Amino acid sequence: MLVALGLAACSGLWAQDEAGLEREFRARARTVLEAHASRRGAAVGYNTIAAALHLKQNAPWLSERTIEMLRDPWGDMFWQFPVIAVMYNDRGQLTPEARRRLRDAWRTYMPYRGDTENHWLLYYTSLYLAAQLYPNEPGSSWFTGKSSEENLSEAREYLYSWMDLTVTKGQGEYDCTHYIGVYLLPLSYLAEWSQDPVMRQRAVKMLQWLIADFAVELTGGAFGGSHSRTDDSAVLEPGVNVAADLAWLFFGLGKPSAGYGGYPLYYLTASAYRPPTVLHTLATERGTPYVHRERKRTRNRWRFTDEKHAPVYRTAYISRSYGVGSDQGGLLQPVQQHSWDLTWKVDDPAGVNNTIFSTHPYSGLYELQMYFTMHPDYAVEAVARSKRSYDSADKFLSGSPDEQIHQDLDTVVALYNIPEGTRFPHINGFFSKDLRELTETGTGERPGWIFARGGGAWIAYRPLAPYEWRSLEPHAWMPASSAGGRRLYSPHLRNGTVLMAAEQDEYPTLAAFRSAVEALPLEVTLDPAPAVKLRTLRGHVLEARWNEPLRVDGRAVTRENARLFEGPFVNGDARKMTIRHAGRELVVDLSDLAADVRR
Amino acid sequence: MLHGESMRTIFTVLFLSNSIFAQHTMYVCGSISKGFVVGKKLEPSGLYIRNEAGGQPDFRHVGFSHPYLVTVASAPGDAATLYAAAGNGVIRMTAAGEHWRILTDWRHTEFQDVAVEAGAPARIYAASTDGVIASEDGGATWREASVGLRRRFIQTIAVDRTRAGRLLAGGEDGLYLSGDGARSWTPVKSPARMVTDIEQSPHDPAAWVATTQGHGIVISRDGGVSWRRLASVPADGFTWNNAGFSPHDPRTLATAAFSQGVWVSEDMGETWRDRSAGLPTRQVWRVRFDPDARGRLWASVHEEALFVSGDSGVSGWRRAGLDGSVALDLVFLPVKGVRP
Repeated sequence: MLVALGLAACSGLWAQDEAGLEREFRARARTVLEAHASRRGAAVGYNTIAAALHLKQNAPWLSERTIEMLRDPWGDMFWQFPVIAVMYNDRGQLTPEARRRLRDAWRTYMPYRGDTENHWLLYYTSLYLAAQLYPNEPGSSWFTGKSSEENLSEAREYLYSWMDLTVTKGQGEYDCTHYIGVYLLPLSYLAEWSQDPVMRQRAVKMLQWLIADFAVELTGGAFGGSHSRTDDSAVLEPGVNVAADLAWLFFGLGKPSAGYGGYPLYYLTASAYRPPTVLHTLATERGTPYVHRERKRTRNRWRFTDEKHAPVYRTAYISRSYGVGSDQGGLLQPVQQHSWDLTWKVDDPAGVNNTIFSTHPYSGLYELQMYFTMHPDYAVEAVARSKRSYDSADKFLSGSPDEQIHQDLDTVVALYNIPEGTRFPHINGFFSKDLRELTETGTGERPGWIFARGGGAWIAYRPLAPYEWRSLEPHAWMPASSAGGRRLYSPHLRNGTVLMAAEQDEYPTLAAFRSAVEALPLEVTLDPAPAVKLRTLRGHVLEARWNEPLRVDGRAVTRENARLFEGPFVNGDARKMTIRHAGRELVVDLSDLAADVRR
Repeated sequence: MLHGESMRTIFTVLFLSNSIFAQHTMYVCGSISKGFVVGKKLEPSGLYIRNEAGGQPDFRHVGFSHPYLVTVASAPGDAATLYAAAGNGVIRMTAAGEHWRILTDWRHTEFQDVAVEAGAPARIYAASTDGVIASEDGGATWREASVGLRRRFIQTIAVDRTRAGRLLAGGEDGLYLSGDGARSWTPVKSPARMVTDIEQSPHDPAAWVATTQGHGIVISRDGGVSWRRLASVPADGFTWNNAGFSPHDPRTLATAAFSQGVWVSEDMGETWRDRSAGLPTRQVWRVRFDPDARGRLWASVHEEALFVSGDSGVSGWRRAGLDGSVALDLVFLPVKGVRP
């Protein structure tokens, strides 16, 4: 009887929670939609038109502006998805001429399909929905030269294949701070606008899958740790990017960026799916620290390997005030990879560099030819035109074949073994202006621990090789917020970093934290290859050697049989994920995909 | 060296005379990329056709704009249909560059090359980032055709015009030969790796030339069975983008490298002369002899323009259009479907 009463009470509370969360989410959504819909003048793009149509702010200028913009379409898949949002939010509001122009653009303009996962998902989602809107039309009425049914069928095949690959091998563009938006928005489209109930249902499940993947690693509104793709700004200012906008929209975490971002807007013009409460608590409640592990995959590797999709092993330690996350190092993604960091929680992330990490700034043809098709002599220049930091020695955004990373709880050991002749033969450690109580116990010539506080986290950072401090160079690609920070520059080929952390309430002062860390044994070897043996603050003995698995308390840690998701809250493998948190459970089962997938 | 007005007069006469007798259409595959960065609008790109209406070469963009159209091919005997290797797939279009249809689907991306079987115009082979695919029905259906390829990134594929079902392909780990219509491939004994292009001599079907990234230029005199590296060409650190036979002289070859400009050989590659004088830079993507005019040589210079010489580069080059372009291929296809 008491149990029944208890359950009833819980159920009542949960219903109340649900209603409150729903109300808050819809209020945030309304804010985003209205902000976009209210733009005027030169700022009016497809986002404003889609938002205004969604809010049924029918006005002649919406059609006029649509026609004007369609005079010269460009932008490929980044043109397709905004136009789809306009087409599906039209609902009789646009003029017949505007509607005719929208339709005709799919005959007269050929968007490039692109060269990576997010491009293809956007392209095929858009093509699927366009073909669905205009069925029974011949190839002559489509840029593909294929009939409506052929386009729909091909797009469906791709979409199911992508879903299946994601839930069996993981995403290739995993855990992006920016591109997470262009994974969630097409799924929001399909969840709302697909006429096929199976597609709609699968799209909702994929939303749950990807949002759980995201929510479990949030530190406040910041998506820290390793990313397949991020950018020069987000890597130093982790609370200001698309992922942070989504953390605010979904869960009320952090603060949204100015303008609220475009991708969340498009997400909201379609299903505007609100993550269920179990995902809300997963994102927002940070009690006992936990370790969450994931297996993802590399982007398509075209050259230099027999393994098209190599596994990526990610680890995250999520505490109340900070998160520590890493992958195994190596070249897992071209150009925009970020492999490890500690990110601490801040209330207002704007202008705050709440992160610390080291990296080897790698730039080279090997990486570009592995992942891209570009011609060799022009490849680096071609990339650096758009990704301006790519060929800079000063960059902080980089994966490297010469970096191997090990993580045990909130301790990271990053080893560097850089061959002679490498373009940038040094490592860069990022030290933010927002670190407090920074204390250097060694010298540049004789490294010791560097202690600091980041928000509510005590941080211990140990360079393994001599270093010098450099001010951050004022590159155009550096975020303005980085001014005042420093670069730990270490020009030694065999090198490394050890990082440990603790909650501020674990040690009353920095001095106490320092004493605890300095009391721990630490053995460093750099020749002939970097190696570290240490005892961590958590009491484990770690042995990290180049090209060998990490040993924890004498036992080698291998992850060859790792599942897609492993942790106290999110577990999953082979098309099925289970999320359990705060007494709630959500099972995301995509087992039925297998029958529909053609490789 | 001719300059100024006299040079222009000679070119005008040459082009007027050739427009009357032209047996080939010149296609340029590439993009106008100067100043382009991701997120900015790209100038109309993809396929261009040469006009000679005013006696001067001129190139007009045809069909859809596409940022990644690498090359086009047609079947001997069917000049009306083109097949393009492109980012969006293998694309069929008319000879005028209209009426596109993407023949492939989502399984393959960023095609690098396409070839059509001589004598069997429905048999198409395409090289992609992830192997070779083949069609027996003009691209209506495709089969995977990568058996025997150790590494699947294939940059170039060419049919032997004299032997049905015989093909050569080149990619990351060298050259491959197929004798059964790409149902199986065998690695060819060759010093070449990272192959960038293969071409069969129009004079001697047993003669082939292949260019590489970092392994120089290799040549075969036995139909592609065995190859030797040309000692006259530097290998390490150089990417030779293509080498082409002169349609008019069986011993003349031209080649281009991004850092070396244009080189011409008149003895089947044993010795070479640098013919880059007059080009604005040595960053040359492609070089091709014009089958309709003896000695006329075309070169695409990185984000500068197309350049043309009336005498294989001996007396210099003339800017010929497509300013700011990266031309990935220069293709001459017979107007009436008959190969020279």
